[in-house]
Amino acid sequence: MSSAKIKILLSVFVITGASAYVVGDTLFAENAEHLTYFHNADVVLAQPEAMTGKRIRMGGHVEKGSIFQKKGTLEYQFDVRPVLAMVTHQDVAEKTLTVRYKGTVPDTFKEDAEVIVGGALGADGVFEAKELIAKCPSKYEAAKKEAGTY
Amino acid sequence: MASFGYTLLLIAVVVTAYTISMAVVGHHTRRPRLVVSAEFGVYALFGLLTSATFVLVYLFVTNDYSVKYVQHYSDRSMPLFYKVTALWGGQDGSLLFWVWVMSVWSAIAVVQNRDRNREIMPYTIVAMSVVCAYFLGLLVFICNPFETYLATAPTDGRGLNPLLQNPYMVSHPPTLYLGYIGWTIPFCFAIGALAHGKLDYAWIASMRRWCLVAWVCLSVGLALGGLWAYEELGWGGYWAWDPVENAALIPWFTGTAFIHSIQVQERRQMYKAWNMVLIILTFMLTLWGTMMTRSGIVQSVHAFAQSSIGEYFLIFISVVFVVSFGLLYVRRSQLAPENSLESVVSREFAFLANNWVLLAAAFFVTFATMFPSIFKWVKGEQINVGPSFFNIWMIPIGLILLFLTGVGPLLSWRKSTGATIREQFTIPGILAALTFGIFWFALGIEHPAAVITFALSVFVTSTILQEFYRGTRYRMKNAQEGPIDAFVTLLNRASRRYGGYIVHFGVVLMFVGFAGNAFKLEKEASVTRGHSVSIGRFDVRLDDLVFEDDGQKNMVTAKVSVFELGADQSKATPIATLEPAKWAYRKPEDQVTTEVAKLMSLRDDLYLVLGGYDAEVGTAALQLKVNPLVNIVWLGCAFLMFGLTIAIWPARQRATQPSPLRRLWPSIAGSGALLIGLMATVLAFI
Repeated sequence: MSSAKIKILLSVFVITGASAYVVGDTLFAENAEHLTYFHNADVVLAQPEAMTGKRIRMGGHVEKGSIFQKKGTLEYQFDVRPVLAMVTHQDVAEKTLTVRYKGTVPDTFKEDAEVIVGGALGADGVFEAKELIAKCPSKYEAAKKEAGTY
Repeated sequence: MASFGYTLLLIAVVVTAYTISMAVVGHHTRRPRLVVSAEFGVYALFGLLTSATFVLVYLFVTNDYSVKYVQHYSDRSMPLFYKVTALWGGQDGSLLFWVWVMSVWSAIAVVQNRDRNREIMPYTIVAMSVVCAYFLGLLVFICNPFETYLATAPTDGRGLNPLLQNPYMVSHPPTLYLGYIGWTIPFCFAIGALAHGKLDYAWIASMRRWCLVAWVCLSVGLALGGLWAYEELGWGGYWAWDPVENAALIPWFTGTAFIHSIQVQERRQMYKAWNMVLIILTFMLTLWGTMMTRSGIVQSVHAFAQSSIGEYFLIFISVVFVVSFGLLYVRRSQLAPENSLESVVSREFAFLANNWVLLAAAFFVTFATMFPSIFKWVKGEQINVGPSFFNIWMIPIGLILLFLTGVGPLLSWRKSTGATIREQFTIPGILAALTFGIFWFALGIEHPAAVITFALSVFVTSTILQEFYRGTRYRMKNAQEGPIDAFVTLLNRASRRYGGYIVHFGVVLMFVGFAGNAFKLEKEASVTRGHSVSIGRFDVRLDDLVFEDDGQKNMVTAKVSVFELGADQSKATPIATLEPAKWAYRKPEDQVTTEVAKLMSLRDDLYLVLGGYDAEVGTAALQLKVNPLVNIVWLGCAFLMFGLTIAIWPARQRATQPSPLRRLWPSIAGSGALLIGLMATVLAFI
């Protein structure tokens, strides 16, 4: 085998090895700090005991009329209901879960907006959120993406 | 009028078909006149698409709400400026804009090459036309921007979201497009060269400036997107590793690799096949990025514009892949290197390392962006990944790149001797070690990544300064010039090299800015009128809460005074007043916008967000952030543009040039204007 071929083979080997390492490392490091499991709100509603205290992200819609901000503070409380299209536990599809959050909210956070809250379910059955991300019900995000993508 | 626009698109399809057939037939029957006819086809396409684009703009400006696209993305109350730019506000229009820019750039490329690269032009034109035809096909069959309402048309439009009515949002998409589409042209030349088999450096030489322009457009486009997020979204950051951002970053990596490794081909006739791979990958990744954000295959915390065009992109990418790599395989023997790597301590090896690291970055970001989808597929559970996931790998990758930025340009071609290495790296090495020592031990800053970044920044900066110093000294001695003349002649004579150094310096500045993230401060506080809260070296006092209404929106403004605390945290000197606000628009849909207030300096930004308020008590809920060094990032971007302008400025003949300073002034004026423009946009928001 010529030295050029050996070099190529070696390169291919190193590249595949490195790629496999990255893939494996990220895919199978179970409790890695940077991975957060994502659940629709119905999963949390259906098995509160199993979920309590676990760091997760939860998706849902903000229930109409449930947003409450303590005046002059950044403390919010609101209810979320499961995103219908993703529901797997039909029995709790109509229920809501209360979320507490402290911090600034995105401009897209409002009634009916689809939100993702990151945090953990507390022992009192209220989801304590450390982060709040809101998808936009209107077309702004879509428009931004479209405008910025090509 | 709308049907006229659609007709123009249909004619454009016919014209591209004509262009393709003329180019193919002309090439194979050796009839140059047919090829010239194909070139006229490219010009015709440019004319047709320019007209079609103007028709759509005209429909926007004349408030023709019978056209669905116009109705979706504008309304009567919008200023004319935003009506025009709503052209790329949505998918259909942005596709039209895409193919229009493509036709403009194709026409320019064809004009430029009317007397050169003749052999490869036929298939280059074919490649350009095929790309145009694909996008035209999407426009004509799937997302027609000229589609009208069949029933009665609405009398007003839905309006463009206020968050998008922002100068950054106007400049960001077109700059990115110019970058994306800019890479398409060199790709087409690569295909032309592969198809014809004339695989020397000639086409790359004539495409070098294109690539650099495409590269700077993509870079500036990314920076503008970051500025928009920083100014408008109110979360205090400029980069979140969102799939949409990544989609533009991934081709930037491979493009950066390409503009470096073509220099090896130029000097040493190596890496020929590799360069082909890089340019093909760059083009494929621009398509891939587009598809990734469109098709819904990647879950994002952001709502994506889901549409059916994803699968068409997949088909097109597959075609591009098969054709490009098929051609590459057929021509592999002609792409064999004429020299071999003589030493790992050589510039060609440094460039190879740079390429590998950049490619690793492209691979990792692609993988991490796709990761939630892969995970769901493998394990059946849904996960989210955040910035920390990306940073695990991207911080080391970035640091290696920064190191190579300093090392690569100073190594000699073929092989560096021990003496050269000592001569080049002694001073920078000592300075870097000193910096590391000062930050780590003396100042006790325990952020390894940040301290290494600072040390490497000093290293790279000192290599650059050393190069400028030595070059100037050499000229002063040899040409008997004064220091200023010598310096300017240096920039002028070796504009590529020294422009490149300035670009590198810009990159260093950006890294310094990124490292500032390690020292962020953040605080939330409820402040009552007359009281204050402190963060870092700042003390922020709420003076008043003001409520106003201008008919279009409700505005709540917190008037605050900012004081700088003395070293002992006691003596406070007033330095500024700021007005963070919250606006509630009546239309569309009670949209709220957060108006961020910032106190900017090179040292840091004090970033204030009004999160809530209590009108009765006079309390404001403020989020306070101190973002150290963030403005260095934007400054770095300005240097990048300046250096690039110097690097691509055409070198003119010596005889026609009276004074070196005069020769350089257009380039200085050009980048000055760019800089002022950028600054003005920034200043407009303070």
